[in-house]
Amino acid sequence: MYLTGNNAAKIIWQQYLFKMKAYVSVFSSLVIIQLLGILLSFSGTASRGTSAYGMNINITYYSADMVIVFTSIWGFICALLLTTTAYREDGFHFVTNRISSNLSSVAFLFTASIAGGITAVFSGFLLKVLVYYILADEILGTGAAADPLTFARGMATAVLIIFFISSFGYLAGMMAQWYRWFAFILPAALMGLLIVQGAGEGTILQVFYRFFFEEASTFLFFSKMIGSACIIFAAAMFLSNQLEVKK
Amino acid sequence: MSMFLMFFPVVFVLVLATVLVKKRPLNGKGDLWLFGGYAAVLLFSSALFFLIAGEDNGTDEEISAEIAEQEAQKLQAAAREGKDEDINKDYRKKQWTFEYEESQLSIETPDNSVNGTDILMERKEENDQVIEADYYQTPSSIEGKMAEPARNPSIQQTETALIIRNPEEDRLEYSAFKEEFPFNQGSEKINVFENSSLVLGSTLIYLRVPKDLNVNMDSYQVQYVNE
Repeated sequence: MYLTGNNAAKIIWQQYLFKMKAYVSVFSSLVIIQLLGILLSFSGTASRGTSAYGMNINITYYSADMVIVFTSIWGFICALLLTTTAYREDGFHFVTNRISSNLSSVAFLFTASIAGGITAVFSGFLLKVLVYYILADEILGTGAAADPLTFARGMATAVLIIFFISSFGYLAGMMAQWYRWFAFILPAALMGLLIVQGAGEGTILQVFYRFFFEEASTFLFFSKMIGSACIIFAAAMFLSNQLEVKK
Repeated sequence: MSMFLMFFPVVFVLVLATVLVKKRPLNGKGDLWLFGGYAAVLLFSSALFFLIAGEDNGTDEEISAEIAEQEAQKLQAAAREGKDEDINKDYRKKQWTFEYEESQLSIETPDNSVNGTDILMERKEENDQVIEADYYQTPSSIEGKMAEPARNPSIQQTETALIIRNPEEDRLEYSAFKEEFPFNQGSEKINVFENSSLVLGSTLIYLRVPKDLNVNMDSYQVQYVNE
């Protein structure tokens, strides 16, 4: 019997607060990654051209698509690094077990995804203002969401995409901790898949893309993103429980 | 090489993110200030963006994609039924009149097979020895902005032929702002150009020739109306 009692939620909350303080550098790295994305978006994120009778039309489009992609990669790396020994052992400062440590990491990653998603979407405004004042004299369209609800939905979508991608990073990191060779096998397998299958019809990557990103219903899309992330994080936690103590 | 170029940005960001997201001692004031400052800049730029978006420059003529498409269809329908009087005369960009006394005429279109225009021909009810030609063009809608090429085709008369040449191409360069891809989630398919619009106008040359003039032409390039 102990004089001080602790419950799981309190421990997770304390670990979450600790991680928010200890890993605050991820937020400054987020800023640098997004600024890099904005810089690279200056030459346009897409272009479209067509020819007709007496006309050759070319339109260069500007948006923060690249920033969102870069932020997703950042989310993946953050999650992956959280599974490394140096980060995982931080949890041993507290009364903890694998589950509470993992759950606080997931909560931290979700917070990081919220910060990443919101800033990535807002970086679109910064990019457009800079393009307006620096690059182009006449801009067609505003590229703004039609209404506040669409804007909120788009921002939630960006947050969930980053969280979803970060779950893969967490699982990949945990797999690499569980079996060291996975650190080489996983990227090689992914690259091999991209090279062998390419972007053709019916490939695994295309089926994956269609299942998640061509979902017409917003509710189903959100459910797929959250559900899949939960399953992937659960798999990572299961692997984490297979690790030796302080490994 | 192309594979390397394709993966280079991703690998570069992966490496950069790994280097940046490094573990540091528990002293993140600088990191917090950087993030806070960035967030403030983003908020300020969003306010500025809506100020810019709300500005009415008032100089550009606008036309929606739907109207541009309707006008193009109306022009084609009216011309193909020979109802050139139904065509909006604002769309008539140039007129030609040629005196022609021969009994035979060749119509030559040396550069109309690629990005060409429709050429329609109507027989008049009299033999007035005059060939009339009108060039019509409806506006294009590019992201809501009205666009028209500045140059018209040329028609040259020789002893036995009319030679119709395409105008020199106008190169029109535009910049447009686009919604980020998460805003298109829920559309049937996420496409880079999901909410963008580009509708080209319609062009045609309408010829009116004397009733009994014998015309030699490439039937793929020139078509009769009302026959």
